[in-house]
Amino acid sequence: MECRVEGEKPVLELRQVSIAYSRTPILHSIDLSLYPGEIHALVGENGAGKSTLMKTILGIISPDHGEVIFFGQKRQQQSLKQIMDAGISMIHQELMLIPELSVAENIFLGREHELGFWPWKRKKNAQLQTLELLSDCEIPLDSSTLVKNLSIAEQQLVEILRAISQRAHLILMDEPTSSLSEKEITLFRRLINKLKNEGVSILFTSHKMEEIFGFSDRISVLRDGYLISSKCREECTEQEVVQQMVGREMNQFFPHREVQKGEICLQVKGLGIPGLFQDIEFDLHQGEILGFGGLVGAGRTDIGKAIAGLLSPQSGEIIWRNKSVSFKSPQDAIKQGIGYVSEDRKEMGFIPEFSIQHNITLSSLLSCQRWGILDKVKEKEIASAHIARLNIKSKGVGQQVMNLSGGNQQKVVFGRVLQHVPDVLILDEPTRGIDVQAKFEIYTLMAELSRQGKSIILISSDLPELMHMSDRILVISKGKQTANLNKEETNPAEIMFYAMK
Amino acid sequence: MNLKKILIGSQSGGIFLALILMCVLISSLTPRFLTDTNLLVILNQVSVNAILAFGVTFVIISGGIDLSLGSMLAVAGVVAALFAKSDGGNVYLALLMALGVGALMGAMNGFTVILSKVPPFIVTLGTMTIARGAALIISSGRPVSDLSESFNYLGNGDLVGIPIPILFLVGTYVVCHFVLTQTVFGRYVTAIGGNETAAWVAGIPVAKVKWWVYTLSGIFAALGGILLSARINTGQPNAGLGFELDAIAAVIIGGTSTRGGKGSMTGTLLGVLFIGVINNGLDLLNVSAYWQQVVMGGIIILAVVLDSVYQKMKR
Repeated sequence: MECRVEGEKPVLELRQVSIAYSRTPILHSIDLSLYPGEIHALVGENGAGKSTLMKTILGIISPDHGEVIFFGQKRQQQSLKQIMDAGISMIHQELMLIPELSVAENIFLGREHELGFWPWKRKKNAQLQTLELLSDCEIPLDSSTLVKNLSIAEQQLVEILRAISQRAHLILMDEPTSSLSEKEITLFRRLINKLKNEGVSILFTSHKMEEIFGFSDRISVLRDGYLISSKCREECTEQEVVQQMVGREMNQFFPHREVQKGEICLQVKGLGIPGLFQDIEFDLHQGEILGFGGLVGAGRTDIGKAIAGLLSPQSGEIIWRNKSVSFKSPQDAIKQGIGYVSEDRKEMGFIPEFSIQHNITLSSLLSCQRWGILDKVKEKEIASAHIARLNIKSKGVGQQVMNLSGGNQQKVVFGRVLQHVPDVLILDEPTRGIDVQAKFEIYTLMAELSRQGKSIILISSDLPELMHMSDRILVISKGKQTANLNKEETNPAEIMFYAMK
Repeated sequence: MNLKKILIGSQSGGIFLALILMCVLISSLTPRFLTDTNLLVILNQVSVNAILAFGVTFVIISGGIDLSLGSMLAVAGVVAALFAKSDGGNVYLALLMALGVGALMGAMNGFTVILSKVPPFIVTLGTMTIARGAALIISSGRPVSDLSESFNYLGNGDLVGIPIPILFLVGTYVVCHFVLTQTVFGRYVTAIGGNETAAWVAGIPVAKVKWWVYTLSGIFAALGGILLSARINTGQPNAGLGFELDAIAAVIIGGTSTRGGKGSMTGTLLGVLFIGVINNGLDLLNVSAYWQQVVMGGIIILAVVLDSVYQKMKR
């Protein structure tokens, strides 16, 4: 994989692009080139300007200064249809598929006219072309399945297929792998390589180092709207990239932790819900971090939900502080000291229109009231304390959570959960889609909590995270527990072996 | 200056401005508008709609809807009248029974919405018809008259010169505003409307809160029914036809989001007054009752459109 610099003409060139929103500069004269068949990773913390840069290339935003040149032509602000016709395609972080339509219909959405005049002909052609595409890319999906019946990861693959079928010359991907597990990432890698061989250029953002280094030919780092570096992959190291992203030396990405295992506080015996998972058994000690490894869709999330009272187990038992318990609702679990941070932050984590303050106190309002009347002074004190402790970047306790970045939203969720003083925390993908700095802070927080004797169940698809943060790792595959491994005695390969078993 | 804060700082700024403009417009067209008597008439006229609207504001903020208000009002009004006959009736028993019946119907709405997971629009649409039928059955389809003096007083009497219905309007506003903004219950209702799943995961007893919201709506509808029966001194099984739409219109004009999660009692109060002022103005200007409806609908749409433009401008 050579890193092209001279000779070839770039597909896309950014010249001195600057953008400001209401006088706040977002991008400072960015120069960037993309060559045919190049896979270009754009990295940076949340708020560094990656999304704005992508939108500028796409043509949704026009730059205040400088120009974007695509195939030798200056790009103007365009409608989505024009953008598609120009040969640029974007895969958003939020999926843009229509759940009630089939895979084939989604892939050809908005381009039905290419499939012929008659509806039945269109349907047949869509099926045929999708089948061809699927077999071409070796993706095990059925073209007639409705999208609502697919997992998030499979939907993501459909999005990518759509971009491929549009025969785009340039594909922009905003965190394309954030919801993919190892297995799907392999499929993803295959797709990327296929595109590369066809000369398609790809610009993608990611927070995962293994992908940034695994896929890309070139890595560009953005920080606070400045392009810090743009180098061939071979010329950079992980350490260097992280350092460039955060702007300071990060000696240890994962905090050092002295494990002090206390007594057993949670025992799970033969836990099962038909169709989701079965025969799950483990002990959780005080101060221990137990990792749940496995592929996306293996049932890890459902096990977490069952312990946190979101799902009712059909068999087995949960023994909590030497008593068999069955939680009917999250409320029951919270009362018993179980905290839960969902993988689906938007849907289950917070109330978007509520302020930081109201979100943080939401699970513990009963301690901020008398006779049902709220003690708002106390509420504010609590919220301010969490903002300081968790380093939540905001305009104050009154800012609406929907206006915060992903990392800060996650910290608000942590604030809410910590405020109801749980003894066990179930963290489902706690660092998904958040920036490096916030990730580091969450790891530090986890280490501190375990030092205080709190137990943590960490469900994570990020192998380095799982390996470094957990004391023990329970591997789940297809709803069954396939291994219970000690951190010291295992390695990523072994975990993957059991995950695919 | 406080006025600036009201206009720009709060959700209800747009509707407040619209109400003032409407008052200025009408009083420039007729001198009979801006008089003490007329203003009291307006407040008295809107009191029933206001009470329904306060109740349904909770429902709408929680992300639901209640279409059965008018019918529940009729049932409660008839029940109150039956227990408040001039021969041997008891006003206190009448109040208790009417409120109890309202609470019961609201509670049934709540149960059905929670247990069946059928959208509240459908559930309360059903209740609307059922309750209307119940009102006709209880009264055998005839108005219930010959009501006691003390019951009549509730609708037509006054205390230190202020009509009783207006006192109820003010009282319910104060209580509802306090409950919505200062209590755990109010916070829970808003949270559920904002993101029901997240509220549940955060440990809020969602089902219980929703049940209470519909029950409250029934109680407020019953209170409206009592006041209306008392005012016309008759329990009318056909009373309150379409009242739910006036109440919901007032809530929406007041800036409460139909998707839930956002809203205020002050907004609802202003919405109610806005509708009341327009009705009164059209009456004073001798506009025919048919045209009043057309004008009313147009103004409601205009108000909501202007408000959304105004909210965008503020950002």
